[in-house]
Amino acid sequence: MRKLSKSKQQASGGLDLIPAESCAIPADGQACSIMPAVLADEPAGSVEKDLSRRRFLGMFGAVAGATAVLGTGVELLSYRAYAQGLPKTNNWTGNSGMTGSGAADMASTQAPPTHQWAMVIDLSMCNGCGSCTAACQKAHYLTPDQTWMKVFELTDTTGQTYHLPRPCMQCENPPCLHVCPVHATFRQEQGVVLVNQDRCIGCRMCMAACPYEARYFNWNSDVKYPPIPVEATPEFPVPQRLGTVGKCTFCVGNLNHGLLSECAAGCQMGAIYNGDLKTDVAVNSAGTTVKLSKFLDDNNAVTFKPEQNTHPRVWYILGHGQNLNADASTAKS
Amino acid sequence: MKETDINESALLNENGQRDAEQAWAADVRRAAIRPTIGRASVAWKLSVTVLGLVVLAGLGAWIYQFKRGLGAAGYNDQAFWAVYIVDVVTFIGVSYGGAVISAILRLTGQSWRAPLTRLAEGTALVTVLIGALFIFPHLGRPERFWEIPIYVNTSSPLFWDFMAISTYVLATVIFFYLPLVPDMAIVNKTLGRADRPARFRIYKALSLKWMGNERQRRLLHSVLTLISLIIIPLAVSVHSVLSWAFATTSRPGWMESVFPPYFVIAALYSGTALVIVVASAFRKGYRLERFITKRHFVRLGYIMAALGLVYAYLTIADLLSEGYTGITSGWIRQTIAGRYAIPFWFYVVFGEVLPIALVAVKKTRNIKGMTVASVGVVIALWVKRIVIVLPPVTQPLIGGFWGTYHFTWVSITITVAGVAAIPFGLMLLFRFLPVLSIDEMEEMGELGSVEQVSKETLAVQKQAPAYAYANGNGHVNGNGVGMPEKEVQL
Amino acid sequence: MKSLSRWLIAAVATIGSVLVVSGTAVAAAGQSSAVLDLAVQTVSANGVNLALSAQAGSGASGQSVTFFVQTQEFSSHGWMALGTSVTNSAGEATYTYTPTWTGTELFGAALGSSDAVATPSVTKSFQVLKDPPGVPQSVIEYSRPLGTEGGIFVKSILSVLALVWILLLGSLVLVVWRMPRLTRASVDTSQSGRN
Repeated sequence: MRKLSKSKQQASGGLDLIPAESCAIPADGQACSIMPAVLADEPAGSVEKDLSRRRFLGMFGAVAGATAVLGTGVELLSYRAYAQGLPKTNNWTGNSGMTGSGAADMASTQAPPTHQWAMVIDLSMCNGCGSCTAACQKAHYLTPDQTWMKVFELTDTTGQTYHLPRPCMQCENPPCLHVCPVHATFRQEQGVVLVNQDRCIGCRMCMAACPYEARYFNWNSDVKYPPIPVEATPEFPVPQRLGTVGKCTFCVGNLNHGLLSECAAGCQMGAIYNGDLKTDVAVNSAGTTVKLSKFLDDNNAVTFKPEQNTHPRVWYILGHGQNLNADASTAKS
Repeated sequence: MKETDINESALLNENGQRDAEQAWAADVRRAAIRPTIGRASVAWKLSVTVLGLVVLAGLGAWIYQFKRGLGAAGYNDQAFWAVYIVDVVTFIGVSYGGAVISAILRLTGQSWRAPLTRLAEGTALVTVLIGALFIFPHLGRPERFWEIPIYVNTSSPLFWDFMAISTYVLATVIFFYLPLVPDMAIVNKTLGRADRPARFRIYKALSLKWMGNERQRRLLHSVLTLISLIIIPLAVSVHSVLSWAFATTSRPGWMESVFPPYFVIAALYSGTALVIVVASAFRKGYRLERFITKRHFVRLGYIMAALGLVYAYLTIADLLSEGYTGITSGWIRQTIAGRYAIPFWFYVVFGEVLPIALVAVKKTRNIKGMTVASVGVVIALWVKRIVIVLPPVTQPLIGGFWGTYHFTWVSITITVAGVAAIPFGLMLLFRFLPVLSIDEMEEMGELGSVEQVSKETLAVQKQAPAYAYANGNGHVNGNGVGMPEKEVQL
Repeated sequence: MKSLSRWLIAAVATIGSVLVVSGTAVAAAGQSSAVLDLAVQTVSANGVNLALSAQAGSGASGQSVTFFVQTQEFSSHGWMALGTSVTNSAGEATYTYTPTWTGTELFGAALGSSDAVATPSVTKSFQVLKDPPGVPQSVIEYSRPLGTEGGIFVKSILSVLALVWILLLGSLVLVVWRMPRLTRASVDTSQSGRN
């Protein structure tokens, strides 16, 4: 009640915006659905902090601060910090959503799930060096054939070779998610499609459904992982489970710490931009910050295989003479 | 097998004599029951042991694969579906043939079916169980199979596969059991209580106090008609849903509207072929020459050839439209003239040309010819399914190179174990249950079951029941070996 | 209750109470020497569109002014060019911007086109306390094929399936239950009354 009276005092400052009304407006409905989830169970008096963007970066306190200092150079540490900051039951139990204490934990420790992660790949900048693949494989302890980020060598309409880095497209209409019989594949709040390897039954229907060949199976038990002090999560599935499927996670743990994904950070050419549809920002490893929508617009960015109706969250900026869709069917065999 | 195992008195009529019909009934009972209550022959024991060892080897290979991962079976990211999904489709497919053949012939009142129904339904039962079990080696995490009915995703084709296959297994079990009820009573009548008390009790329970009276017959008949009516659309749906596991993906070569009928016909085709193979094997091994005759094989051969032609038509329909436009024809090129050409043309030769030729040419239209044709079809359709599954899986969707699937000893052992499990399961099954549908065969009579079928023939034959093999004293000529096989012009 | 109070608190400090802080700075070298003055001025009726205006001095008409916002998503905290507009006769350039995030937004402006300048010469902060509409805020859900558990199609298929199970199991139960009770030979016997 103390809070209520306080807010009433402040509300007397000539304000016409009240939450009930804004929630009634359909356009605002989405905002309303998020804000209460963030604010619901938090301690009183921290509103302004909560609403700060900076707070978001510092959400895990000192650990995250250390991460920020170390910058993109840290690998395992950021994941550790990330995993330690997460409640045990974060919302990756598939379709079931948050329940019980998990929901409370989440509300009190996690930032608003309002980022909508995306990626832009500037093909004219890509020289096919494969450092994105190498960085990804190193960070996730992948076997050499598990190329979550794979660089394809294709031929454009002028007969020139060009390179196509292919992460998971994080489709907004993901076929892999539709066909999973046990909801092991799910889409978290930030639009990233993840795999719950503790539920996956290994039927590989998702591999059949993915038009981008973006999914990789854990075929063999003889993969050696170093001792990793945190539990595997869908965001950072290391060590991976035998007999389940894995794929690019967009390094969503990195992104939520203000770090670039491993592939973007590893790209010396600055061809890979991590972006956020919500704040309309994209950044590459060179520190170039662009307005995402304008960047995509100005450069005629395209998505890969739009005819599949998957609505990818990864956009490509084409160089001269390149045509993703024509090339896809004339792959060399 | 000793003659004394069978209670001879049970085979006689009220007058203590054998008339022609009684003699037929006696022979049927003798042939059907002896393998179950007689002593097991050395050949039977040997076969079951060998087959059992093969099945055990398959189980061992599966445990090895479970520990090592699916990589041990030759799988990789560019061949993520391969031999086990082919086995699932093949085994459930052949099962479908047995069940539908039996159901259709039952519904259309084909009396010649009588000696075949038990074998066909038994084959359906055994193969559907094997096919369903092959889902486990297919999965990377078989121990989590229970999640499918728990975390239901109705969008997933696999959920509907699960529903369809489980329903079909239930229907097959019921469809196998119900016609068995009268036979259980007959077997029990033959089997003395003292000989095998445990078995006697089981048979008695299963026979449901069957007396063979009018009302019981009417009940059984109507229920069987209902289940026959259910099992046909059910079997169609099972194979359609299986095909949609492929056709609902966007892979060129799988996303085909022709797939459901394509799979259904393939299942019927291979299923009919397997019924012929099983009938041929059990005819020899269980001395059923007198009951399952050339006519049965030729008729089944006709059905098989017709299905084979439809299947050839669907294969062409599948390949032509995409191959013509060339939009996504990489997999077609590889199928016809590339890396999958050998299995594809193997199918064309042994799955279409050879069997249809063997049926078409009068000289080979006999038991041996039909058996050879059927063996060809069963193997060739397994190969054909490899050709259906692998090219779309291994094709590059974005760029790069074709993937390859290498058979390993693990996948070969498990598949061979599945094949061996068919005769293994059937031999065990018919060690406890009569291999012929005694009641139906008695009901149809010899003429209906074997000689058939035109009413004129029936009438003529009834007037002069000259049975060369049953003499006036009611003595039956041995085991039915050396019977002059009635050659019936078709 | 909690969330309501929070909303009210949020509302208090919200868009109505616009801070108009003046800041001045000399434009970057190589550009016009006019003094640029950035203001975050107006708030549209629904409270989300911000009018940024930059005053380049009364004589500086027809000059390009690029507006920036500092990004917070990644640790580089880069200055993101929002757009460029041209000063009017009064030397004022305006740019309407829809904030994308609640919290403190740091805006900036510089003389010159966005190709020419990468960092602002003047900056000003502004608090946005309400999520603006019109940008994706939660996961866009496409309907799954056959996925709407309440869908009539899925429901009808499941009903048919249930019917099949009932028929199959019913047949079995019927036979098992009824058959032993039909041991009398004829329907016409007195027993028929029991049916």
